[in-house]
Amino acid sequence: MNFLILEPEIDNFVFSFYCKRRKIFYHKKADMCRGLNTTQQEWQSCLKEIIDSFDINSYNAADTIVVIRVICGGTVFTAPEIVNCNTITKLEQLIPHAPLHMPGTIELVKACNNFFSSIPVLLVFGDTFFKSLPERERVYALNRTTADKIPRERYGLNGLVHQAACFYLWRILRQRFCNCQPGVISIHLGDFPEVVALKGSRAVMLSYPLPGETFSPETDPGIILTLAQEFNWGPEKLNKILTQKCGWYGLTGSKTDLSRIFKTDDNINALAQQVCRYQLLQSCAAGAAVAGRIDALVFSGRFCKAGNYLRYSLKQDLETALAGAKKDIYVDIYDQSYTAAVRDIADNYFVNY
Amino acid sequence: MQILIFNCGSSSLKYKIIAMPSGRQLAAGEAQRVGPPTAQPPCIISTCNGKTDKIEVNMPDHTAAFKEVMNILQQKHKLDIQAIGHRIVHGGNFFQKPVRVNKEVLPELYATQKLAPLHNPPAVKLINACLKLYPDLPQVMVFDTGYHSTIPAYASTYCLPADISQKLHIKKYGFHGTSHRYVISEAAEHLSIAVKKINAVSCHLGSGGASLCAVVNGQSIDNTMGFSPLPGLIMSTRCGDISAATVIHLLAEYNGNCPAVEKELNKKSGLLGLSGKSGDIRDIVTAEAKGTDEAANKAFRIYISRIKKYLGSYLAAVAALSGRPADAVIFTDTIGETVPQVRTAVISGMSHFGINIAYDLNNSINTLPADITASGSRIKILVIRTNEELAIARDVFKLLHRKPVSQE
Repeated sequence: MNFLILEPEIDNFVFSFYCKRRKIFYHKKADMCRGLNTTQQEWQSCLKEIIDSFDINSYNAADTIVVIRVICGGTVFTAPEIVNCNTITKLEQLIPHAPLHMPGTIELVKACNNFFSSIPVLLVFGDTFFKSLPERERVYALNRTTADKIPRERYGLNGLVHQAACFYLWRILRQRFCNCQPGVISIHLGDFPEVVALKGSRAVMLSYPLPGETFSPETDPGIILTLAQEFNWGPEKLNKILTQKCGWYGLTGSKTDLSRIFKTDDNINALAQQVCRYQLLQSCAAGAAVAGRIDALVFSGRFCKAGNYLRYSLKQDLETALAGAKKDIYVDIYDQSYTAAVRDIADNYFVNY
Repeated sequence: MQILIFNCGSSSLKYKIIAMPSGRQLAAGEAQRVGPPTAQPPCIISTCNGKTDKIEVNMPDHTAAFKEVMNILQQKHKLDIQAIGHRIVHGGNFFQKPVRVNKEVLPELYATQKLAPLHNPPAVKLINACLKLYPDLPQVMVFDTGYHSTIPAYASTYCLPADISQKLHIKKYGFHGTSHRYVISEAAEHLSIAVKKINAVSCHLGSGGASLCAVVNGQSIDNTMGFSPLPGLIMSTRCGDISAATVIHLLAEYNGNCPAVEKELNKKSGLLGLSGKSGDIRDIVTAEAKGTDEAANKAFRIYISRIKKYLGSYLAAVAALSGRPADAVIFTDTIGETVPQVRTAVISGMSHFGINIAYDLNNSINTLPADITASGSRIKILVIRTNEELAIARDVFKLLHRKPVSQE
């Protein structure tokens, strides 16, 4: 099976083509369109250019699926869906939830439906993975009046990659866990690192984001209020500082990332390594507490290879803590891009389909 | 030696007189409605020798309250106070251990007021009043944050620009340290383990504030509260952990009005915010048991889930640092000591951590300390009554015992 993957963003558009049989994977940023501001007609010309550039017919068009990544499925879509006569109406219901993304996405879906009249178009949604997350993980302990004024629920940021990483893990561990719901911890080491715990295929715990390159996720409101009062900073300035001056940059004083932090052993990097190890351990153990068991860990994301520095200590510390469980936690790394994760989800969908 | 222990609130002054080294409580009481006039008149509730009196007196400030309390203790109860211990909520970076009050430490004490604006300023006023009226009476300050000074840098450092953290003294300080330290020492005694060897997670679940503390070799290695007492567990009216982005959203909603946002997060959130009715988990447990109040059910689930997650995190933190599972999980303070439903809900489903609760023992506690561990559980579960005043009295006695004023 071949996948043509379309990933529209607000102001750019990335497309990829994957031929499973020949293990060929093209990945390109399209310069010929204006992202989600593109009209249906413009999309159609854009799709023609894409097809011409790939010479799709040489890859057996009959065995090709078009996959569109959609930012959110809200409560309307709870799983990937092949575009059918009801899909556009359902997508239109999501416009109030994502007014910047959905109108352009709908135009793209319509264009694909016209252009690829004999090829299935599959939509995969960025928020589907977190649909199973219990309410207790999503809500803040605020009063209802206050909660109504702000985004009241939290979702993770890397659902598609978590989902693909878990599919990858389940394929490997299918035999081992055929009779039980395994406890899996999915550790995403990307721009916004986060940890999700799964019980079977259900996400049951979502950590707060962990520090990123320049981003600090501090969960102590007292810190934000102190910064606001002491420096007289407004919301915009606070947001800028917390997203651009903090995280590993704030801690080490230099622009760095997880892969560099674990390759250098000076004092300041040693502290960053310890902070990272400790926060990951805490999030994984919190996940284990909620999931009721822990059988496997999987690292994913742009810096997933830092998992090689973390996996042994994390496994050892968790196994020591899990004094009442069998000590045999499986650890793996899902080293694939965001686009490849979309491909793997689509692939998994059609395998089961 | 009779030691007077003060616990100073913003509009109250609680006290106990403890005889050391026996630890026997001789008297206790509370000056209520200290400060500007309120609907009810200010009064002192005083208990001595099993008899409780209520005395209405004018107390416009903590100095006046202090004078009245001393008057009652010395004139009415004929007590001979030989030292004073003060519970101070925040010691900042200045105070890690109990300190005797003298002129040298006062500037640093004044500097801590900004870090705990509700709690430290009245305590500082009280100390000054004591110095003025009883200059020869030894005074010792015991800091709630002191016990957490051993939290390693990797757990106490926030990923903020270093110059900002240094300028504003931003780090994880942790709170409830005196209570955690006390129950850890009691647990060590109960389990016949040296305090310096015990590894545990202490769950201080109060009717107001609450925090968990991870302990390795008797020392705090982490606490769910942080730079401020807001983060961590969901509390009576405090929100607990919340994303920075949400606080920024709130600031935008309130046009940058920090006190208003602080009030929202400190006084209107937590269990009260979730349930819409009560900030007391006991009310929520009652409503949840009936099964008809959806908001109460939700509040209970979220409250328990947060404790459970931190318990798992801290059991792992203890295991990672010590190389072995914890010796005990300890429940203390009002909710931890008296609400078996909370203990059951927290521990249920944690058997993979080697921790199993004996439901029958948990539901029939008559005296404390109590061991509610099920047979086969690798980790002990203890319920221990906290006694911060006794912990402070011990500290005062220890600091002064080489120069006792007189024998008890």
